[in-house]
Amino acid sequence: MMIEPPDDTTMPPGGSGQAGTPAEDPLPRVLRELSAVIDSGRRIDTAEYLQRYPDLSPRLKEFFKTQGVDGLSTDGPALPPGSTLDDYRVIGEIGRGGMGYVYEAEQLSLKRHVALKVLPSGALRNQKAVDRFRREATAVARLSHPRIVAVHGFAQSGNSAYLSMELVAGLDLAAIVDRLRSARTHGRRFVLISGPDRDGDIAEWARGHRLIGTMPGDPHTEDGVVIDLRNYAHMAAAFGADAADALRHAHAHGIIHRDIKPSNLLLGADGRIKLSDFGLAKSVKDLSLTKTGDFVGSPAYVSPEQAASRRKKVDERSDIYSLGVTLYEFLTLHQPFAGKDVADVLRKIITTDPPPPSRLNPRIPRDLETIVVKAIEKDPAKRYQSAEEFGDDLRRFLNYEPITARPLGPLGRLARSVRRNRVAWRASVLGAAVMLAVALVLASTTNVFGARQVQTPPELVLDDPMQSALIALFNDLAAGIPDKERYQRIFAVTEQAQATLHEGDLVKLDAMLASLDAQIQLSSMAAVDAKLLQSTLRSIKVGAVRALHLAVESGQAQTASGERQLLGAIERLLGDADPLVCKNAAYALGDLGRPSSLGAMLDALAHRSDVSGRRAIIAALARLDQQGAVPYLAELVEDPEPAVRYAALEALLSLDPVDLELTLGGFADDGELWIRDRRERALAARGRD
Amino acid sequence: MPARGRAPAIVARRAVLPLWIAVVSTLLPGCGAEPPPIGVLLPKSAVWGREAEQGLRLAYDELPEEGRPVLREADSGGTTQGAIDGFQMLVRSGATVVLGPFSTDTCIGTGVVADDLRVPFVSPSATAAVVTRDSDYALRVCYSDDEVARGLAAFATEDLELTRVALLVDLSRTYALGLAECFTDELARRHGRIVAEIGFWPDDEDLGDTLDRLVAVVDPETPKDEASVQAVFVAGFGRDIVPMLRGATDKRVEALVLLGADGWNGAELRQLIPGRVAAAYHTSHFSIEEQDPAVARFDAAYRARYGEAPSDMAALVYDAARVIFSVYDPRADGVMLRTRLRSVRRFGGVTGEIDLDFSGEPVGKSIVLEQIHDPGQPGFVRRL
Ligand SMILES: Nc1ncnc2c1ncn2[C@@H]1O[C@H](COP(=O)(O)OP(=O)(O)OP(=O)(O)O)[C@@H](O)[C@H]1O
Ligand SMILES: [Mg+2]
Repeated sequence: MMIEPPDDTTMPPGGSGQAGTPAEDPLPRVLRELSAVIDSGRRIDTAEYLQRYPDLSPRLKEFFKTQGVDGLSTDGPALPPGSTLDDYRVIGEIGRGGMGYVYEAEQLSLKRHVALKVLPSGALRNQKAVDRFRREATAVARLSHPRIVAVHGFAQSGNSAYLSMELVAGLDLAAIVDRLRSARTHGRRFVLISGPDRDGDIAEWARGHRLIGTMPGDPHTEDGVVIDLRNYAHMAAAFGADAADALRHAHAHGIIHRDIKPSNLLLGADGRIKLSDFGLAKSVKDLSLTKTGDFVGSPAYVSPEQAASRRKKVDERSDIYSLGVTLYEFLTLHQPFAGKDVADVLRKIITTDPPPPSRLNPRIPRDLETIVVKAIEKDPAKRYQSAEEFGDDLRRFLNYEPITARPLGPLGRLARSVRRNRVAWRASVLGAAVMLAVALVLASTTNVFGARQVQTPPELVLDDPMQSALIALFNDLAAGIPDKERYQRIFAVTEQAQATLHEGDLVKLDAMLASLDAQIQLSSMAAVDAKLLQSTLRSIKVGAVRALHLAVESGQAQTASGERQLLGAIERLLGDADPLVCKNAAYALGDLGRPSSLGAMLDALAHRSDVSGRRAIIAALARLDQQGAVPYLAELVEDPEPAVRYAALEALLSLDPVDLELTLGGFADDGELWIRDRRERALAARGRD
Repeated sequence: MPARGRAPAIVARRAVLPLWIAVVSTLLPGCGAEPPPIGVLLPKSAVWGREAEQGLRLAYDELPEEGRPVLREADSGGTTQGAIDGFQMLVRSGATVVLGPFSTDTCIGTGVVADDLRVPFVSPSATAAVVTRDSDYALRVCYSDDEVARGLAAFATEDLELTRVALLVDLSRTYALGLAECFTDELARRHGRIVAEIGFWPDDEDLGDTLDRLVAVVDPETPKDEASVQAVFVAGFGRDIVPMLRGATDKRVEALVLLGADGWNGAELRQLIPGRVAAAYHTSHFSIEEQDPAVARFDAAYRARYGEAPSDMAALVYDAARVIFSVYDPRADGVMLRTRLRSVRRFGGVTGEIDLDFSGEPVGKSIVLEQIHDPGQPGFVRRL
């Protein structure tokens, strides 16, 4: 497969691939280009690059090695058709991936056709990793499920090692998406997604074969499956449900896939999806001989928590996330987190909400959109908690039944739209380690350059504490500063913050705390140290809120903008990971009663997932006494936490909107008797006076 | 950049002088290797460190002299860092189970280390729910704050028939936040409700102001019964409201019923409260007024030996130690001892019956409810 060179690959003037003066060393540009290819999920033809830039070849080889793309073209010729490998005769190449070539082959003794995934010979140098790969593969081999590509076994002979597995007839979803994309660019409406791509009028052909509107599993699909670009939501849901079934089975057997992405969803002859490459991702990392190794291939489908491979536990919900991203891409033909390089993609996975699928493809039904959006929530706790739930909702959609996922209401939408570029939210939702992973990847890339200083990407705004912390971290990593030293520095800043609190310099304190939060998020401190730090920081932050509260109350700020600054500092702490800090901030804002805090409070309410923090904010909203909060509070009637619903009910009662009875209508059939009761008694009491 | 060279006090592992006080070091007869000791992690400097030690020694001396386990002590200094260091030191010296640490914060930190080292610890007195929830190797013999809050809410609504309560929350402690939330929920479940919530910080100089705010919502004259307050639940330590009550001049305070959790045993509070409010109830872990023969025996032995009445802390440590002794086996490692601890059932403690569950929680442990009266009157009300 040839790569399409990205737009900026024009040769520098003065040579076809010749390195110019040191100042115009083409390497950085080539590496950027390569990273973009890797990120886009496409494969790199290493030979082509080596040919194009002969002067760079040693350094390119090094790069391919560290990025885990060695062993492809650089690694000796592929197995030609007709050659044999033990009991197998190679029929032809099917494709290549991060782990080597995949061939169609005949297993001579059993006279059956199989797919062979042959590991790059470079990988064999690491016998321990090969052994782990074998163990993983054999664990997966025990899974038997119609929606999972069966693994027959693993063999190592001479200088090759390979996996033998069930041969799946059709394209993978990545190829299908490619076809859909190209059809869209060329203004074609119908796309054949099985068998060789046809030119000409697919629509005519498909109508003749009565293929349009078929669903996976329908009898006609043996002849081929045709996608109508205007209407394939049901097919996508059916694919998703199949993949979710496969996941459910694997999860029940304790196997996490870890690498769900379009190229691992294969379309079977029956028009249904089979999932391949279960549980292999972990061993792939070992095999790929990379030092940083966190991202082999494309990170686009990696869940926020998954990137943090070292400390965060990756669980079933990471697979759910990745399947959600896969469906997002299938439905919209856009990757939700496309970026210019690995770091950029990861940063987006962390910091941005993708556009709602229906904005990219207005034909996506609302319910399916809701399902996909729920699956790709950044906070694992907000996603489907099991593959079964996910699959069930997709099937409900397919059967035109009501789904269980709730669309983001006005509260969530408001919060998302007014989200300011602040760090605090990320704290509660995302693992810091994700950011660390970004840093590691970037740092390792710069080491390939041989450079020590990391350049600040132009779009980084340095007054964002998270971004400055990130840059500081890059620099530290590039300079080889050990973790311990970095943590000590964080502890030292904590002590300074304490001193600043004593001095009463609240503006400076606010900046210090924001920067500390960012640094802590980026560090992967040992749990004990983190706990210690948290308890120290808690008292500083509580102290900060009190001091800020007092300063506002006593009119210390003098100017309106000064007061706003102090209020902003309190509002920032509403998003603090520590519920006690949030409680203090909420209490202070409720007490001060400044209407301008309403937005920040609603914002925080939408972003916190802990019950303590949310109920504190709700109570404070009641004291703020702004009718603007009413619709948002009324919406909490849907909240799964009874304590939150109850707090919302109390707050509404105290805000006493004109149409109280109407506003409280939703609580009339609350699942909890005591909540229903409170509503009734309150309304009755009001009726009396 | 902050100074890099200076080692901040928090990280610098304090060189805790290993206080290796082997209270008794008996060697198992006929056995070459020393049996693993039981670790004891005490805050020596804390006021109740002495009471804890007395409870421990009493329990230890009740063991038959033959084959008593070896105890090894470390001082936690009452800080999280100190507790972690002490715990690690005890495990390094071979301890397979540890008694202590005592407070919620120290237990949370220690829990992380214990999970790593796979050595269980039994806290006599850390009451926050998270202690056992966040660590697999943390166990405790005291009930949790959540249960206290629920018990008190039940008592307020059922026994006292009070439904409109004001909340006085110590905003500096997670402990208080947990208490306040559980109390609020349980009260609501029982058709009561929090009419007002007032936050305070114990180190605040202007606590009188807090009281004024409270009094403002206590108005028995209010015709609308919806808004008037009948009781105040103090989510915080009893001692912290002393300065508040001392300044109380408003008549309306006299109409109030005070409800509090454990930690209300200060002499000052007992002196201050009678006559100033309508009534004051609080929970504790143990009461000598209860007519329980085991408690009476413990009380008598304790008084005879130390010449003073046993405190809550002494009783809890006494129970924690006996629970550990009942499962200790020199051949068992930490993981096995944890399993044994988790299967302790119907253990007759002086602070109540102890049934440890899989998460290390004493399930359904009863809560002692006491009332603060004029001196001389019995305080024990009943068990919740
Ligand atoms: N069992 C199979 N039957 C048929 N085709 C397969 C089979 N397994 C993989 N393929 C095809 O071979 C190609 C390479 O697959 P491979 O799994 O090596 O790469 P990938 O999925 O892109 O990346 P990764 O190595 O990360 O999984 C893909 O296009 C895929 O469709
Ligand atoms: Mg694959």
